[in-house]
Amino acid sequence: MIGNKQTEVIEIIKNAFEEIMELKEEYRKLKEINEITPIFGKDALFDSMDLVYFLVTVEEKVRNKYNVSISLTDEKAMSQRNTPFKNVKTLSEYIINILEEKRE
Amino acid sequence: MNNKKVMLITGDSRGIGSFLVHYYIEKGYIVIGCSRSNVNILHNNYRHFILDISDEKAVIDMVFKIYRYYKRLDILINNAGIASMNPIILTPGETVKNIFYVNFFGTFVISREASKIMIKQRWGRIINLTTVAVPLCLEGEASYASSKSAIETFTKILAKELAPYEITCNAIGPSPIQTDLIKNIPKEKINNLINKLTIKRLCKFEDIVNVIDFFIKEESSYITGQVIYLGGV
Repeated sequence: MIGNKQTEVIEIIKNAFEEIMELKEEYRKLKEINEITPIFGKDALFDSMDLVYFLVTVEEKVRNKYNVSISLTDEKAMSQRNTPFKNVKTLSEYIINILEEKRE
Repeated sequence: MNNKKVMLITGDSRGIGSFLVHYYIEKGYIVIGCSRSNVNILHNNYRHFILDISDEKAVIDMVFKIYRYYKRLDILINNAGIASMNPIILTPGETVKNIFYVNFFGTFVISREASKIMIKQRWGRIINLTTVAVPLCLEGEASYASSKSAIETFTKILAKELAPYEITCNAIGPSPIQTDLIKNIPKEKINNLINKLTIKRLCKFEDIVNVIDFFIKEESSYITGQVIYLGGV
């Protein structure tokens, strides 16, 4: 089940997607962004440089929304067996975990 | 968002960093400095953070505060550094680790975090401090020069990765300058070093800002991944 917080974070991720799609025409072929839209890996849309821009954009939007600084490229993210960058849903779950940890 | 460019200078409590702070405040920049100790600079366009740049969390927190307050970061000058002058045989492993931690790791982390803001604003200038000890391969400076050598390679790779976002990254390698970093080196050794330079004198602060001014100016958008050594090395 997806809670309110997760809906908010998914919206942030979708907005970051849209921001990049505005920059590059080739990305506009992506008709819909949903929970299973891949972020990183062979089915993903972005090349590595745009992935950088995408992650920085997500971090910025989280910073603006929740007034906390998160790093999506820390050891924890990179060392997880199941990468948080698999799709929109897994990234949103990862971000919520970071936000919860920051609150404690 | 304010109209003045925001500059972050690491290691600004003394020496080159301290000179740069005063120089760029005078030039109308908003200057943010950081060092392990406090500094006595009171100016509306200056803010100081006390931190160790090898402390990753502290660096992330500082850059977050800069973003929250100024909403921009235009120029980063990675000046903070420590040195140890000893023959390899007499250098403890901990000393080497410490030098690499502050000089290389610190530069890496702060550049990574600053880049995140610069990428979004699609403009930025990153200047790293290296040393003539790298091309001269000076005896007794193995750990210091090697850490700066790592910074030079880092500068070139960072330049490539950030080029799509109109961010340039360059390095300057000063020759010996009268700062605390060389205060314990015998005069004779400094003179020997000066004799290895094409222009045989100590470096001046003005020589350094001349190159930094060149790197950060708008017209230098086509200059990236370069290392400029002073004194004709």
